Amino acid sequence: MSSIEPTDLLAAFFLVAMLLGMVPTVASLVQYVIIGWQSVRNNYSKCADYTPRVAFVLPAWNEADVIGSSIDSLMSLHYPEGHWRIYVVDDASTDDTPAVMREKMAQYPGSVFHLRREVGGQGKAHTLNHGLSIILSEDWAEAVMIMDADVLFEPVTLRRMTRHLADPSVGGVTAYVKEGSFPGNLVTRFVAFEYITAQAAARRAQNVLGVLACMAGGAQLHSRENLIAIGGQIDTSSLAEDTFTTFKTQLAGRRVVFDGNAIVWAEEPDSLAALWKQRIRWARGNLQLTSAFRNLWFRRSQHPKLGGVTFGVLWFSVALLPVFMILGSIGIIGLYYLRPPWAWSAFTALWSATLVVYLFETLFSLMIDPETGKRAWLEGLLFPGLVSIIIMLMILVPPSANPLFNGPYWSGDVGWSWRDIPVQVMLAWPGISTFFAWLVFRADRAGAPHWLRNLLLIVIGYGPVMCAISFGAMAAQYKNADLRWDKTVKSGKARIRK
Amino acid sequence: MSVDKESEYDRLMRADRKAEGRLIWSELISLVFVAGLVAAYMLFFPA
Repeated sequence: MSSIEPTDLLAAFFLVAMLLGMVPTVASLVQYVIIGWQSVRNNYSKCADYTPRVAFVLPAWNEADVIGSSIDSLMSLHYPEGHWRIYVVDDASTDDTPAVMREKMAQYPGSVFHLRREVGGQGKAHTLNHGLSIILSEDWAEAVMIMDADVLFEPVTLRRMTRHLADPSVGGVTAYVKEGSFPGNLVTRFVAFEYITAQAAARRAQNVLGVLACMAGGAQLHSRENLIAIGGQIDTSSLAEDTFTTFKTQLAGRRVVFDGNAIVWAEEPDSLAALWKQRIRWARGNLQLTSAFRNLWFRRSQHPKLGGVTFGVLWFSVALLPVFMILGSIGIIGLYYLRPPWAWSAFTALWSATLVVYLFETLFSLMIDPETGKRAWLEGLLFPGLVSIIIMLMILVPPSANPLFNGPYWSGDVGWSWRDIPVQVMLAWPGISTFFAWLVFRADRAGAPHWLRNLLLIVIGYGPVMCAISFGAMAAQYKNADLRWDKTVKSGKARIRK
Repeated sequence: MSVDKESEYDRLMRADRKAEGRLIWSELISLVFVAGLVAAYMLFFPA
């Protein structure tokens, strides 16, 4: 019997690392496959024509450009007269927010309220809590809508959300937040497509699983009973207060529901620099949550759904995305040196599977939300970046006709040479694209012309930018960087696109 | 704005059930389309 050599163990390690690199792709595919079940397994059978009195809470800090149009959109809701109120919690704004609020209170007496904090700057959660403590101290509100000051509601969105609260087992409902910047640019269209995948698709899949990772902070409807059950306050210890609230609601025994037909519109960052700041905050918040609920993961005894294996894999495939990408690259590069024929098989299998998943998910995403698909189909196709698309297409070329696949490199017959470099870049691209995406962000932050930023973004891809942001969040958490609430500046560019 | 609660609610429910019902067909169309592409490729470029 032949003995196991150390190189065999090393090759096995690289193979496992490469397979781990496929976890995010497989997790994403699983989500997309189960979305269709939402057609038969949704919460509509438990809905009723229920129109509770709803208090909208809008945290605002220097929102003079957007708060007026948000209030106007909220006051034109199709909802029973007198059954909703708007509470703007002004976090000591230094711009014209108080003046705008005086005007709106005069325009909508008894429906719009201005709750002013004289000392602010503690962040969104503290601001929300100031409003919640006042709202819950009165008996009027039967439900509370936590939202962002710039979010625009379609007239029937509230009706679409409150119907789920007719089921007392539902504690919270969230809407589909769509990117609505007008006229928009390449970055906002990438975000628009990303929101199909991350919300319209992923959250429907989570509905089917009976567990939701996050109720969007931009439109989060709670029953009064649920808010009281989770302490009547929003978590202030993290940067992901909306996700904490979602987890606490489910841990307290109530369900949360995503309604993909209840739509609100928001202005999202239009530059990589602004996007980076916003998403670092979200990603760090998710890491904080991962740590705070460390006793929950993969333990069904803690919660049958949140502690389940499926949800755990879905959660960590996003939270640890760069780790999986880098492991995959290390694995395949290792195999390339140790077992070249294995590397060739692994490489073609990995990218062939990625191509099939990419085609399926992109096409399905465009059909899930055709309105966004019409304006962001190109960004959907370019989501992984031109380099990744070229690698996927190269797989389709027979090896005999492809110089990169037809050299001596894959046989292991020759030693390393400079000619290996393009092959190795190709092999390691899932991991090293993270570094290149960071360079694109740095170029944008340094003031690179928009045409150059756009060109680099198309070549490297929006997906790798998301991966780089996750990596940046991990680095910031590891360094224990300051937990600053870096507010995303909104300028009133959002429109309801109908 | 006050509206006819009953009719608006029924209309929303009908539209939304229909929209969710379309998901399964969108998924099947996507799967069949991609499977067709894979089959066509394997037909023209057999291993």
